[in-house]
Amino acid sequence: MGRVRTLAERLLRAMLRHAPEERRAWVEAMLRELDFIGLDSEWGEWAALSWALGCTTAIFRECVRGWGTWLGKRCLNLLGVQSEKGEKKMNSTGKKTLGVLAGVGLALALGVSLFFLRNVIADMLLAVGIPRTMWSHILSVIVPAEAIVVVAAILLWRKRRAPIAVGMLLTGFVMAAHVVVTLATH
Amino acid sequence: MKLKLSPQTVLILEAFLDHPAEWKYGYDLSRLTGLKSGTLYPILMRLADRKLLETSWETSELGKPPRHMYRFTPEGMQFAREQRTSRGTGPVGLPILNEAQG
Repeated sequence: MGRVRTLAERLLRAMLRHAPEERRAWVEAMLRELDFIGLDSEWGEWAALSWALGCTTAIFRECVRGWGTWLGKRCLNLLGVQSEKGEKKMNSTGKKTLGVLAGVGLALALGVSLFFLRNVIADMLLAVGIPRTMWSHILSVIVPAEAIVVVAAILLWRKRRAPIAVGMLLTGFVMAAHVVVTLATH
Repeated sequence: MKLKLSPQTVLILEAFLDHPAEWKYGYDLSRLTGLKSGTLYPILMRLADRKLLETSWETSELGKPPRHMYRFTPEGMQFAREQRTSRGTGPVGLPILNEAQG
């Protein structure tokens, strides 16, 4: 077995260890298929890696979906909607509120992640000779975060997920306002 | 039954409808439909969750790891046929959709 195929197998084995219990059989299935991929092709090893990467993405998306469902149920409970029957009866205002809250949550999660990564990003910039200044921080952390928020909001809007997009944009606007105020006071 | 029928889902349903009684493997479905694993498996999971597909582990020969196989449940077959009728396309539609996939 070549190095690339070994890498693909290791990737799927790692997924097998970390996948949610209810999806392990599926990861096992993906892993078993790997033995049959690209056997008749010159680029078979790369096809196997592509297969493993696709499967990893699929499982990761399933995990995120699972967390989303869990979070949604918690939010519904917070909004006072308790039962399955109640969920179905939830009015459109409730759904929109939930969507906006989800958007705010997503944007905040992105902001917090980048905030924790700011030192790593600064060290990486330093390694390529860019000193740590306020502007390097703004351009390497804040601008990308804002850009991601805006692009995600546009994509969500186009997918008819307007409440989530609004939530993200609101948070992005507050973050941008915070940066402007900070710059002005400096 | 409420299920989002994306063009990719339609491709998979059509692939199963070709020989509905036959078990199919994930890689074979990927080759038949031209879908990547990252697109194929979430759809298979969704179909299996809704009891439209049944899954099974192949009884393997000695030393060979078993493979996961899929085929329609009776409900799945009925659903796929209804969807095909409501779309107004027969199996002839499949190559056209395949071309759209690139």
